[in-house]
Order: sequence, then C-alpha cells, then structure tokens
Amino acid sequence: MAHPKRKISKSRRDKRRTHYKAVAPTTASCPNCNSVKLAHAACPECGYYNGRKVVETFAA
Amino acid sequence: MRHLNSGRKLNRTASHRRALMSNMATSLIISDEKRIKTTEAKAKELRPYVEKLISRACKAQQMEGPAGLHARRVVARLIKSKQAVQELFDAIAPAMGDRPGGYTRVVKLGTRRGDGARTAIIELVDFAAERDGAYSSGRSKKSRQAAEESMIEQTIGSAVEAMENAGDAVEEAVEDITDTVEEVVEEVAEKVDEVVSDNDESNEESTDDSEEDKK
Repeated sequence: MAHPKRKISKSRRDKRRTHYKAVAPTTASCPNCNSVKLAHAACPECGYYNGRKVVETFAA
Repeated sequence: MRHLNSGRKLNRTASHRRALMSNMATSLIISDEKRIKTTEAKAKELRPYVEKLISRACKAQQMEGPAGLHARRVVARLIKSKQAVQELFDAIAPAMGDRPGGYTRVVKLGTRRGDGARTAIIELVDFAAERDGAYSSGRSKKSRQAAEESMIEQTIGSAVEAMENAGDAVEEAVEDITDTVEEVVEEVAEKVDEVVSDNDESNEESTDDSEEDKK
C-alpha cells in the first residue's frame, strides 16, 4: 500500500487550513420590531414573520 | 451521485422513518392549533406527506359510497390513529374547501438550545388564518402594496380629472358670461343708436315734437 513519504509539516498543514473559514449566517432586520433576525425565519424578538404573528415570545 | 434519490433519511431506518412520519402527521392533525414544532428537516419532510393525505381527504368529499370509504382506508394505513383519520376527513377536509394544494406552511424559527438544530413550525394554513385575525388576505406583501399604490394613483387621477373638469367648466361659464355681456352691450348699443336716430329723424321731421318731448 502506498504511504506518505514525509510527515506534512506544521507549515503546510496550517497553510492548507487557511481556507477553512466559518461563514456568518445571513441576517435581516425585522420589519415589525427592527431587531436583527435570521433571514427567512420568524423574528425571535417579536415572533412575527411575513407581517403575521407566528409564535409567542418571552419579550412580546 | 444522488441521481433519482430524493428525500431525507433523517438518520433512521426505513421502518423508523415510516413510523416517524405517521406520528408527526397524527400529531399535526389532532393538535388543537393544527401546528407542531419540530426540526426544519422533519418539517420539510412532513410537508408533502401530509399534503397528500389532505388532498386525498378533500377528493373523497366529492366521492360517493365505497370510493370515499376506500380513500379513508388508504389514509388509515398511513396514519394509525382512528381519531386522526376522523379529524382529517370530517373537520380538516371540509375546512380546506377548494384550495388547490399548499395546505401547510413551514415557518423557520432558528436554532434550538442543546443540539443547535434548526427548528421550524409546520401548520395547516386555513386553521392558522382562523386563529390569527391579523392575517386575513392570502395575497403577498408585494401584491398588497401594488394594490394600495394603484388605489392611490386612481384616486389622485380621478381628483386631477375632476379638477380639470371644474377648471374647464369655470372657463366655459366665464366665456358664456362675457358672450352674454357682449351681446347685451351690443343690443343696448343698437337700441341706443335706434333711439338716437329716431330722435334725429324726429328732430329733422319736426323740431316742435322734440321740443315738446323735452318739456
């Protein structure tokens, strides 16, 4: 069976990993209460989605 | 490659998955609010499953005799609860009316504490509309806005038209008045001329008469 001839150096390993990045979730502002919420999801602050109360929240 | 593979396995065996779908559909149908909270993946899997059951129940309404019973039995194979089948055929199907599919709505809620899974609510559209008075129109926000804008434009347009008409009417009235005034002035002038010429004639004919008139 084929095997690596050399151990990958810390440098090469870390250089490879420079492209491993976390992506920030897309956010949107709630049209009802102007707080930041996830796009295409009900607002966790006021419970509104698409101009309609969807869920009860502790705040509202 | 995922050619011809559709659907999610949800980390379950086929029988486990079948049982899960059956349980979720039952929960959705017999719940008082006609909505359940679950993970986004399960909600999206449940959507077509429940929609097909509701479609069958709606179509069964028009059927007569054994065909309707057969539909009921087909659904009963998929959801084990007799109570749920009854609710689906006797309460939900009549309420859905002639809605052409799209009986359910999935609203995403964000991640849950514990495992960070994305959660969502799946609910029956018509029952949600009944519960929430704020949501009455089935139209989208954009079309509502467009309708409002066209209403405003129409009102403004008719107002402008009315204003223009009023302006025209005023102009016409002013023209009429000036015309009549001119006519009257002309008539008066003619009569004055006539009177003057009569006087002249009478003066020419007999100065005595005119002198008498003056007296």
